[in-house]
Amino acid sequence: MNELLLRAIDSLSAGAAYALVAAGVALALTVRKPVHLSLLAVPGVAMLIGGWVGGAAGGALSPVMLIVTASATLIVCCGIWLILDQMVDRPMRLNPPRVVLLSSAGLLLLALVVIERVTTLWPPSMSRLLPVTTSDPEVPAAHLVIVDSLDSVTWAIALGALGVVALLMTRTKIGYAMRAVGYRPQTAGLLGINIERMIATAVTIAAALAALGGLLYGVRQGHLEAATLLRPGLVTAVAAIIAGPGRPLWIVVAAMGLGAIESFVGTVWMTGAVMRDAMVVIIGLAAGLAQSAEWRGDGVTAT
Amino acid sequence: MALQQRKSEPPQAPQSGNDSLAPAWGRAHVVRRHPWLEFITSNGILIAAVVMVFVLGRMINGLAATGSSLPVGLSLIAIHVILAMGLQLVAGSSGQISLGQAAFYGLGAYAVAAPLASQQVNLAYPADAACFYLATGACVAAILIAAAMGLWLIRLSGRLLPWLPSFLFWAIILWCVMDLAMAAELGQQPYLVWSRLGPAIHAMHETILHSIAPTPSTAGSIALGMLVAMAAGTVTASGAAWIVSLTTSNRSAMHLVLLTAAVALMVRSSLWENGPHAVLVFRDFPIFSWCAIAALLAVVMIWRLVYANIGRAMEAVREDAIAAATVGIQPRRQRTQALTIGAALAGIAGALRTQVPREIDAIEFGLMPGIALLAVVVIGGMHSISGVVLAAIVLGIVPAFWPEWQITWYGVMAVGMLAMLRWQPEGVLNNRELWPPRLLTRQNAMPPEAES
Repeated sequence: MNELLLRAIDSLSAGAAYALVAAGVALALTVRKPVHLSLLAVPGVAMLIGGWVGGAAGGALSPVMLIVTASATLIVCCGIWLILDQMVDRPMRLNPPRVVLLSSAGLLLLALVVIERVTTLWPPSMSRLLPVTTSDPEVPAAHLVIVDSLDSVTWAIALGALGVVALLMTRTKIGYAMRAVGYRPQTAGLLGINIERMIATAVTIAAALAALGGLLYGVRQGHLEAATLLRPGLVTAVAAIIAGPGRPLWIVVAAMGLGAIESFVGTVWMTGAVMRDAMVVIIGLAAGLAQSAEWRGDGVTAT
Repeated sequence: MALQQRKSEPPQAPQSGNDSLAPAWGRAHVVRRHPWLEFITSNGILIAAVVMVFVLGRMINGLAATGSSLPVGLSLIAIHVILAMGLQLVAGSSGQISLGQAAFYGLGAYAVAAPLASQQVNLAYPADAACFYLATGACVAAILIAAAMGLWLIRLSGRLLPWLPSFLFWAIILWCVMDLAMAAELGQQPYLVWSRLGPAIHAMHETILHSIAPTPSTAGSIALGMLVAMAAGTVTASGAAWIVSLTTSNRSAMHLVLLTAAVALMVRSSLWENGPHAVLVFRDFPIFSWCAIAALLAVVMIWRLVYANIGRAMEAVREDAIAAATVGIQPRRQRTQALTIGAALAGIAGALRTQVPREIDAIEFGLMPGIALLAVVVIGGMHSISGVVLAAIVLGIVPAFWPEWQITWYGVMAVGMLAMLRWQPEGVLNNRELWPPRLLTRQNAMPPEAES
């Protein structure tokens, strides 16, 4: 029972990392409906950068180095995606949504190619940066179920970041402005809101959240491969399908749930990753068939 | 009454007006009275092209004996054309953005490669292969019917009770998939699925096989076996696409994009990273001829679909779904048809890929090749079939002949796609065709306004 509880705690921590990525995607979806697909690659880039720094530090990061690594990763990811937004996406915004989606798919392909090439040339390695106390033989059996340091750090960062974003979106002027831009851009523009600035701000924050989630996920995974680097983004995509685009809170909850289920299934019944992706897709299909309200159309408006 | 009378009257030559119409009308009348003549006049260019490709294919296949990589490379380019044609229908005509074309290609290939690699099927014995696929298909159909019943129960009413059996159905399906995956990973026989389905498939297989005398392994039987494999790949890929389309055809475009991306990830990591990397390839099998003829037929099929009623309905839905619905077109049906036909072509390509003598890499079926195929369609022109064919041939050369540069080439294609969308969204041919539409359509099927 204790073993099961321990795995449940571990699974929830994995879900918390996904939740951060999902919060980024949900934020981007709130401001712009044809979301930047390339955002799905941000966690992978963050893992790469974190993995290189971690590898350079010998696999064990001190708290100071950890903060420096995380900050550098966030700055790099935010910078890259802000530049991409301004150079590639901004000129496309007046085009039909189909063209915008295609251009974001092109950006995603470019990001995937870079990740795959770089991973092959300079493979990153991330070890769990904090010791897992539960495997310590000195710990008595009665106290086996404890939350290790990594879980605590993950939960603290995830809850803190999600709280800040929730406050930003619901209690500040800039949050209201972003939501107004997402709801009706022309009207928001007439009211004096700078639409481009709001979209750029949202993309930057979304990239930061996704990068943070990717870092936490990578630290939990240890050894990184190209397929691992993509998983957070795609699980988040399925979470967006399950919850619906206009429900940021539920996207975060769905991503957390999917991450928890995936991690739980992976540790209890499987030894590898064969089943995880299949299960995520099946859940996405079942949710799609059950008709989530926000995605539901009348058969004629799906453009 | 007047209309009925007009229908019953025999066709008459025009009595007045433009005299130049009379000979043409006369020819058409003669052709209609002889179906074989109509077939030849309507499909003459197609038949000539198939014969030419067959002859050319025999010459190129002969190079394989000299150790040349030309037949393999050209076969892969032809497969690339088939894939691009499927996606042209989905993205170009129907306007749906699918990132899963490579995943459907992978599913079609897996349906053929997995039984071949485990030696459950030998394509030299087509009846044997057909029995295996029929028995497996029957079991899969039973599971799908159970799932459909679950869905029907979900929609039956808003009460709680119908949800219970539907959840049970989905739980059973999930369990089956988990069981299969776990067994594949541990290298054991799946307990739940195989202990139930395995004997059933085996029993059906044996029963049908005993009633049929096994055919000897000849070139004809191998060709027949290949047709069986192509049918299996087509059914698998189009079935998967149909299920995906069920959930996406009446939703936002983002729904299809995200779901097909997830399917691509699943196919790559769940099936192929642990799947067969090499299968038994028949010596002297004329793979290039098969691939080239299949590519030619795919181009003609898509051409005729796009310029027929079904293609026009798809375009109407793409441009304005509400307006199309008001004139009786069902948008959901059109989208499902497009995705299913596109995936069927991908399944055929997958089945052919298993006989190309080059090691199969999981990366061929992931998200990257899916988006790269989309790049081919964008660069070629979303509304230009000949442009897409041209782009598929040109952009397929590097992956076919220099596979080690494949991923880097995808990066080049991504940059090309972005540049094309920014400065020339109509594609390289500016949405025009290299040849007139009438050339590849049946002569009597093309309305005059279509050629303008």
